[in-house]
Amino acid sequence: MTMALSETSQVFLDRYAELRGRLAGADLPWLAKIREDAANTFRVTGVPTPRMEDWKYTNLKALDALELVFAARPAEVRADMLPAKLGDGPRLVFVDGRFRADLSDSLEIGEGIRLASLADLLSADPGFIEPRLADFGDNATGAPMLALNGAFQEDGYVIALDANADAGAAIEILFWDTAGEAAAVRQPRNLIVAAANSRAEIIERHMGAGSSRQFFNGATLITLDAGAAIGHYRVQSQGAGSVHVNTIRTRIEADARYESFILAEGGEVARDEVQVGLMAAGAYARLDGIYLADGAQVLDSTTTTRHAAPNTTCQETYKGALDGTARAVFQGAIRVEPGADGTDAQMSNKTLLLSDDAEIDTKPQLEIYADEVKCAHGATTGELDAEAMFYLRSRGIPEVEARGILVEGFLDEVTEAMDDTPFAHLVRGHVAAWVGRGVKEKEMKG
Amino acid sequence: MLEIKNLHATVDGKEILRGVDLTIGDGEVHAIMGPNGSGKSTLSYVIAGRDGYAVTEGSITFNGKNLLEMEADERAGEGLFLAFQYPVEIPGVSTMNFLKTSLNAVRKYRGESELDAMDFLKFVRAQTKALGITEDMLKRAVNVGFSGGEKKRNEVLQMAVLRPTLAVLDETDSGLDVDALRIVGEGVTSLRGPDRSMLVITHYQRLLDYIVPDVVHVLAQGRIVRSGDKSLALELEEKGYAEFTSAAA
Ligand SMILES: Nc1ncnc2c1ncn2[C@@H]1O[C@H](COP(=O)(O)OP(=O)(O)OP(=O)(O)O)[C@@H](O)[C@H]1O
Ligand SMILES: [Mg+2]
Repeated sequence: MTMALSETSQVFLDRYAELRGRLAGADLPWLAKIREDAANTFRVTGVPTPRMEDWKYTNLKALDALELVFAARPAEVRADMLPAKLGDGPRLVFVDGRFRADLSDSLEIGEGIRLASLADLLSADPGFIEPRLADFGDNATGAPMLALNGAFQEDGYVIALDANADAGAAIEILFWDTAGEAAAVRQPRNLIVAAANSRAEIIERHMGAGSSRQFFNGATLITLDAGAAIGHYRVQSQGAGSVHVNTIRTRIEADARYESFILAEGGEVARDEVQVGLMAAGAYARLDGIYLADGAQVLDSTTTTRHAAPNTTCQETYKGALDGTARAVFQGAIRVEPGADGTDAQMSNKTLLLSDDAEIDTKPQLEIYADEVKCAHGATTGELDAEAMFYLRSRGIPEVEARGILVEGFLDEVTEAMDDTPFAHLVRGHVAAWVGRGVKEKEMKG
Repeated sequence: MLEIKNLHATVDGKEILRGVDLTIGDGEVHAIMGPNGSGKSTLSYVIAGRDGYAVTEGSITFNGKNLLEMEADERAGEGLFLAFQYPVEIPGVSTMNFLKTSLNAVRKYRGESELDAMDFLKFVRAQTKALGITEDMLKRAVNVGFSGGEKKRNEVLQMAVLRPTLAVLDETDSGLDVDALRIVGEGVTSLRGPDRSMLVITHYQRLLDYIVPDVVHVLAQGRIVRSGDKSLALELEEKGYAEFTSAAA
């Protein structure tokens, strides 16, 4: 028995059939097969609905209301229209999903480090890409959005580090959207390949000109070989009318460390999903995030951690502030496989509700099949502390500013761990701008 | 400076203040003593503008303005300061940042320019030294993990930074060791001046050795039942409040 596909799902499949011959690397038979298989997987369920356990709290029906445009917008973007570079490192720029070498900067950073667009590498070195793309199981039926991305897999970034390579200053990736009424469909696929003992910090920013609107469905596939260390930091500030889905799938080998941080504040509906597999002893993951939502936004943070070997560790802290009628979703699944003794899994989710109509759905999900396991999880929801509010106001600080201070203080637990890095400054800047948005409105009115 | 007339206030429908009359002139220091639960902190909160206290009768005038119409932050801008009996912990907000934000908010209210980071630092360092507050405390989150005495010193530091015209000190002496009491007492006294008045709530006349009051009041069961000069504090310490509580009951 097959379910009837939604109209939107059918649109995706029709466009796939139409465009597949023109997608990057379409002439590579192995890639065509991955795409075809992924499309077939997507066909089974189509766009997920709340009937799927995994999508119970986040409804993508907002997609149905978007006018989806698959062609690239002719965008005239100059370097001076983009946000300033964050630091001294290289920067890769994608405008409306297209890699722009002319806007990118200092990509040659040393022996053993490759920074490139996926499309460029598919023509220059397909043999390098093939096993990495083939390996990630787009066909798992539980992940229809990843499968949809797999069918299109448009151009994305590739960061490949040879053994022992050290990228030095953080690598910045900017996904910039131009303004437009219709929603541009962008489905980049990115690869981070870290060979043994290599290291890099990657800052990924998703943002756009004032009224930009997108359906973004990205995927990043990451492998860390033994002893590698990758810091992967993302800021999701897409335009207000956007639907954003991003899936990160990371495989972590012995003694390798993967640190993820996601600041989510953009889009009408957004889901940032991180799936990590801790594959060998000593593998370590840190998954942190901040979500900031107002209006009728829905921001979903979903994580899945699989402890597949003994003595692996995952520390996870997600915190957020919600205003208006905004809703956030936190789903944290931890699976400890048989034999994964010595697993250490810590998960915490705390939310500050700034209005009576804001809401959080938090769902920890633990499946533990090993005996010697240290596993702790907790979730709290609270309002602004009235006593602290009065204390601040009694010191002359007006209401909106006092609220901002308390929100920043609440989120500080997540940001303080980052010390003084460029990314920490970036996050604090976004948090400050978010809490200050009320002050600006007030000043403009008054 | 401050004129309170026939002030009645309720909390959760319960009347706590039952007709307080109190007038403090420019540069005067008044002390309020009284048994536990008599309404001293309630009075200080009503003056400072805390939510949840309903004024059912009476008025408070501060330098000619109707205080009860103002938000708590406006009152601070007008020159009012409350040192809390129980200072509040604010995780994630550094004491230094808090002081700076608060000083600049008050300066902005008063139409003064904001201090830049350097000038502010100089200004604060001058105040902290006298109060025995370390740089380390300034870096830590507001009152988080501070000892009882450190919290009280932090209140006095805020007062020194904000330079109010009327300071209400609610049991700023409780929880202090002998040396800290002297430091705080001297710190507060050094802020005395012809334009600065104080309302000092305390249970012990020791503090009043440092901050010598012009008038001492006894608050019992929501009313000021007796006023006198500083010798009244000594008398109360000796005799207790039995006379007032039984008389009013
Ligand atoms: N929310 C409330 N609901 C009911 N009663 C309250 C509430 N808050 C305070 N009270 C009562 O008001 C009375 C006065 O309290 P207040 O804190 O003003 O006393 P105080 O004079 O400062 O005492 P202390 O010397 O112990 O500090 C007390 O009986 C207290 O229990
Ligand atoms: Mg009290």
